[in-house]
Amino acid sequence: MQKIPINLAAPGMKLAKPVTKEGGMTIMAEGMELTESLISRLEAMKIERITVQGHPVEMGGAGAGTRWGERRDRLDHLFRRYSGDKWMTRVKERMRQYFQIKAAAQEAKIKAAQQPDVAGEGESSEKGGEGA
Amino acid sequence: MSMDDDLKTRIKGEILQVKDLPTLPHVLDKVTRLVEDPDASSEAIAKVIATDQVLSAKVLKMVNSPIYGFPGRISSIQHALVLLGFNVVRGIIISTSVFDMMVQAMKGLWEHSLGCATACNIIARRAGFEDPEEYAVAGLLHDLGKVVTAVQLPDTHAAILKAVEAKNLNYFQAEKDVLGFGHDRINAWLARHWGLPPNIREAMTRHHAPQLAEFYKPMSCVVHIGDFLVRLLEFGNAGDDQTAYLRPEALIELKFRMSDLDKVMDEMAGQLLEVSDLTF
Repeated sequence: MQKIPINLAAPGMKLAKPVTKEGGMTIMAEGMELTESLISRLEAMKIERITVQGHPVEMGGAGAGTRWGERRDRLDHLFRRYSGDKWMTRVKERMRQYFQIKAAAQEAKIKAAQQPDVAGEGESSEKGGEGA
Repeated sequence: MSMDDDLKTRIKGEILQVKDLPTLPHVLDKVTRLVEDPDASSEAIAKVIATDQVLSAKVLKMVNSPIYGFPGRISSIQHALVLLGFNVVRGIIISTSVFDMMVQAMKGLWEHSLGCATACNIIARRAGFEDPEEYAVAGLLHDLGKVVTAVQLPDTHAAILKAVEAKNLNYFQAEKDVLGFGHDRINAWLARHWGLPPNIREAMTRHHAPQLAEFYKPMSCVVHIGDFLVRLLEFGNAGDDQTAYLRPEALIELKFRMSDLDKVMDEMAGQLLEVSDLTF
């Protein structure tokens, strides 16, 4: 799931959350697949952002859309200064466990959702990056 | 370390120059005076804030963000004052005032601050504390001192970033290496200068060493853990790509087990997506 500005929306992406107008009225339902005409209609309605399935757009830096597996793989790097510290090593391994569980659940969900024309999952970038 | 004491003192003086600090909106002065008057109603305070329409719109946008847990339901400044209290509204006014500066001074720091605020709100609720919004504001403001250095002393800021790279330090350690003190000290001074309440002030000052907090240890511990978790999830950027040292005392203070952190991260993951595009 990733929140993206409307100008980065592309046909084939699927909505992970319904699009609503101010006031809560639903314009497009969750799960709907975007087309050129739907995107231009959203633009015309001044919708600025939408939430789509998967992680189709690399927006620079890690962040809210980062996959759990990527987070797990970043742990050694993030904890590199505390490699000799017993407590922090314990914390790191505990976090690895948590990220591992989340990653497995996420992978399973992605697989289950993989229908013939899955939106962008395969082309999501390799790393979250450093967000420098 | 490489610097003699005279130089450190001079740098401190330069950072703490009042004249160059971000100016807060005039209405905040008026409001602060009103708040000190025991007879002033929240209606009167709200009226003063509402005279600045741009500011009011920004405050309403912020209080209606998912960070505070009342999305879309607060329709007026008076309503915000009643629900969140003046301390939170004041913290938000300060954050809106430094927003432009923060975004320009350090890429990713705004997102880091928003993420920390979100985390603090979740942690405070989980710990069963009253007024979790105050914890969120402490999280929102916890790195303001970094902005001040970046704006007042760009060369020093560059030297800190260089030390982060070259010596593999985190930003806080690099500050101490270059300046002799960190943004925690600058926070203490800023918070006093802006008249923030003592609990938020201490949390801003002690978020790196919550075990040393004297009066408001729980809030300092919440911000400490919030900072740790946002860094762990790499939401935004606080000046380096490292995790912070997680003080076990902070977990003990909140009676948290590691599994509580799992629950907090579960909630954060959903909410960070919502706040990721919050700007003024």
